[in-house]
This record gives sequence, C-alpha cells and structure tokens, in this order.
Amino acid sequence: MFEIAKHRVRQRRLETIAVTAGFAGLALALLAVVADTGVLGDPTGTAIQPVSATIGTTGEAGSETIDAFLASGLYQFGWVLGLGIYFAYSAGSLLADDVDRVDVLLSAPVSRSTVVRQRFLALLVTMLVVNAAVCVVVYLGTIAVGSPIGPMDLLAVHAFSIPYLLVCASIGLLFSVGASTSSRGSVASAAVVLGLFLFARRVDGTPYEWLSALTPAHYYDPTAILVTNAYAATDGLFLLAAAVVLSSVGRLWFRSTDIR
Amino acid sequence: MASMDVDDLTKHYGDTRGVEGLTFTVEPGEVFGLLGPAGAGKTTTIRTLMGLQFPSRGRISVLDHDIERRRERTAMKRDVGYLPSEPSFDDSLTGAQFLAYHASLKADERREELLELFGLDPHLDRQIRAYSPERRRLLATVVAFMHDPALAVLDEPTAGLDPSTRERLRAFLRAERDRGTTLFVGSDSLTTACTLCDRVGILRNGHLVDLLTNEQLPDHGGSVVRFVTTGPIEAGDVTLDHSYGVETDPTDPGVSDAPPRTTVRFVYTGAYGALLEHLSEYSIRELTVEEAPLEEVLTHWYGARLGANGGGVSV
Repeated sequence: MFEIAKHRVRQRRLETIAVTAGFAGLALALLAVVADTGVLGDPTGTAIQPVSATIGTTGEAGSETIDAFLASGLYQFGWVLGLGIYFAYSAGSLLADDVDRVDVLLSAPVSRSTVVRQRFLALLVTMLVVNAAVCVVVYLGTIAVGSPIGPMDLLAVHAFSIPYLLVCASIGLLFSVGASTSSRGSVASAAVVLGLFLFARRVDGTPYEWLSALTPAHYYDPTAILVTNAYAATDGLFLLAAAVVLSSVGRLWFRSTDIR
Repeated sequence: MASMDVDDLTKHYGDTRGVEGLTFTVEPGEVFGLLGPAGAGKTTTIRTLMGLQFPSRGRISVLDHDIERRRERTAMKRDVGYLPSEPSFDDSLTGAQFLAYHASLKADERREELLELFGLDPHLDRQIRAYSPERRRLLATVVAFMHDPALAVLDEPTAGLDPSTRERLRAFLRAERDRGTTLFVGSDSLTTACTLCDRVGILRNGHLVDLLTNEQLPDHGGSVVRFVTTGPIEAGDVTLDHSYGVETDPTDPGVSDAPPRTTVRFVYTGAYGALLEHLSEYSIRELTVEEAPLEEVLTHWYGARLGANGGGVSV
C-alpha cells in the first residue's frame, strides 16, 4: 500500500543518514565549544555569551544559558535555515526528477495523487529521523557537558519544527510541479526559503515587521520555546494547516497538468 | 467493445499543434500501428492515450475506461502495458531492484519468462547505469509486459535495437498477438508496420492521413537502393516496377581514360528477387541497399497531402 513511499525511503537512505550525521555533528561541535570555553561548573552560564559572539549567532532572550545558545546556534540556523532549505531543495525534485521520471512509474496502476502523497511521506520520514536522532544527541550531549537541557523543551523544539519543515517541503513540491527540470525546481525552492528567512530578518525591528507574518519562520521560534518555554501551539497548527493547503495545491496541480 | 476508441483527439501545446482530430478504433486482438516520421505526433498521441497528457479536445476510451476520469485511468493501467519511447530509470538501482519495485505496484506473472526470453537474467544484479541502451529498452519492455496486459502500448519498440534483437522482439510481439494481446505500436519503421501490424494509421504533421490494412502495405519497408555503374544512364532507363524517385548522377571515375560512371539512387518497395534480377543488367561497381526514410516513402504515396483520410495507396 505504501510501496512508493517505501521505495523512496530506501532510495533516500544514505542521504538521510548523511543529513542526520551532519546535523548531529553540528550539535556535538556546538556542545564541544560550550565545554571547551568552560561553561562547566558555571551555573549562570555567563561564559556562553562570548561563545555566541564568536560563532556569530544571536540569542534574543539572553544568551547566557545553554538553551539560548543551542536555540540560536543549532535551531535558528541549523533547523530554520539549514533544514528548511534542505527540505525545500529535496522536495523541489519530488516530481520533476530528471533521473527517475514519473512516466515509467505512472505506467503502473497508481494515481498521480498517490505518487505525490507517498513521495512526500518519504520526506516526512527523513524529517522524523533527523529530528529524533539530533534530539537524542543534544539531550545526551548537554548531560555530558554538565548542563542538561529540559527534555520537554527539547521535545517541543523538535516537534514544532516538523510543521515548519513541512511548509518548506510544500514550497518545494509546488516548484517541482511547475519547474521543467528537477535542478531548477530544487534551486528555486531553496532560494525562496532562503529569501523568506532573510526577509523575516530584514524587516525585524522595522516598521514593516508585521510583514514577517507572511514567512513560515515567523511561526516557529526555537528561541522562544527553549528560553522562555513558550510553546505556541496555534502557530504550530497554523503551519500544519499551511503545509496541508500548499501540498494539496501542489498535488491538485500535478493531477491536472501534462507530464513532460 | 473496442480495445481503444479515439474520437477527434486533438492536443495543442500553447499555440503549437501536437495532433489534430485523430479518430480511430483498435479492435481486441489487433495489432494497430501508428506510423509516422519523427515529429509527426506519435509520442504525443501515445502519451495522451496513457493519460500522461490531457487532450485539448476529443474523447479517448481505453479498454472501456474513459481516461478523462481519474479513477478509470488508474484502473485502466492494470490491464495496459506501456513502453515509453525513451524509458528513464533510477540508474542507481539494479535491474532486479527496479523490477521488484514495479512488481510491488502491479501483477507480476511473466517477469521470469520475459527475462529469460530477452537474455536479461545475467545482468539483473548490475546497476542499470551499466546497461547498454539496448538492454535498458529490453528492461522497459519486461516492465510493459510483466503483468500480462490485455493491451500493450509501445512507443518505438524496436528503436535502438541491433538487427538480431529487433527480429527477436518482433517475433515476441507476433507471439503476443497470437496469444490475443492487443498491441498499439507507434513506429517510424515501415518494416515494423509491414511485418507486424494488422492495420496502420499514417500520421503526418499531426494529422491521420490514412488508415491501411496490412494487405494494402508493401511486403516490406521501402529501401533506398544506390549503385554505381559504368556508362551513362538516364533516370528513365530504370524501368523496374515498385521503384520511384530515381535520380542519376554522372560520376567522375577519377582516371582520365576510364569509361564514364553513373551513380543511380531510387526508392524500392518491391520484392528483392526482382531487384537483383534488374541490377544484374548493369555492371555494378558499388551497391548499398538501406531502409528508406519513412518521410520519403510517404511523400511518394501522398505527396504533400495532409488532412482527412484518403483512399488506399498504390505501392
């Protein structure tokens, strides 16, 4: 019943492992920086402030805790920007894939909607694997450096990232239907997600700040979750709804368009 | 009920016309050829029949399924095999993995038999990227027939195959016809049409120009005959039946005291025995006999005519 998804998951196996290893490595590297700069035994965590400045991250609500450090270093940049771009890029070739064109697949008795749903589902599997693995690595890592992070906050920051990443992947899906080649679809969707992120940063603190409500990153704030423990469930639901709408538009568009 | 019922099929790409007003039916158990030169609209027609593209106008029913309806289109594919003109694969898979994937999506009654028939067995554990173009086509042919479809839609099934494999594939397709499988074959090879098809629709510039039965076709595809002979010859001197488009060209022999030579070229659609008998009248210096480009044969048959179905042709 999920043969296309299963096949796609198998196909993406190495990529999923590489991405997971990459982000787990990033998390460990950041934690190593924390350990090296002597935050251990420094209950106030003031030593982290210069670290944040060194690696160029910006914590909004007080960079003095390991939570804030991870929120700005790993989650704002790694998740909101890095993984957001990655999933948009991957989804950008979901249907316009040059090497594995859908016409041979569509000669089998499967509908176009099934192809979209199951290939999208395979992306969700990668999302879940990366999040689960890095969540565990970060939790154990913070214990190892002697500054354990709140497990509920950590779970929340990962759980709320899923709707955000689904929106990024849905943007990619739209481009993959519209683009003539997979590379164009991928690059265009990655550029759009990057553009939305930079736009949100640019209007921050200006009279046009309200415009950032148009960007998905507005509804997923790892710093708020980790530092002020503010779980905005409505934002998560809003992102989820946006992902459903965007991916449905992509699916309906693919259903009614000519396959090149 | 017809295996395929196509009424006024028209496909435009923006302002560009793909095919215009195609109407034909394919009967169960029949081998129907869609014969046309490159760019005539064969692939457009086939992709539209398979539901990969949507018609701009017209109705298509395949195995009694109205392919404009999504559910019927999906259901139709259970009993239809499709060989694209340029099948593409995920090259990182092995042949066995690719076939297993398709076997998970549809019935898989004949995979082993077909692999043996096409000699693909020894290559199944290699990645598809290591396959020759010919082997890739055969792999796609296995996918088209593995679920034992009632109707197979084949876009250029013999393209890119070497002569012996091409003959093996034609023999396989004839055997399929004898088993009762309906075949819809898009081809630019008159030989394929002559040796395989019960009926042929001639497609030119997006129009169905004619529908011919096998009896109305020549015994084999047209050949371009080209030979060099000594002595002057005029085009009118070649009085061989079933030859046309005769061109002669005096050729400099390169040696001053050698007798003059003439290069003769014509398209021939008759039996080879008569051709050899005729050629024996000349002192032949060079000789080539090749399959004639389809457009050349069609130009002879129809001139520049396009449009509504005409009568039979003299061949």
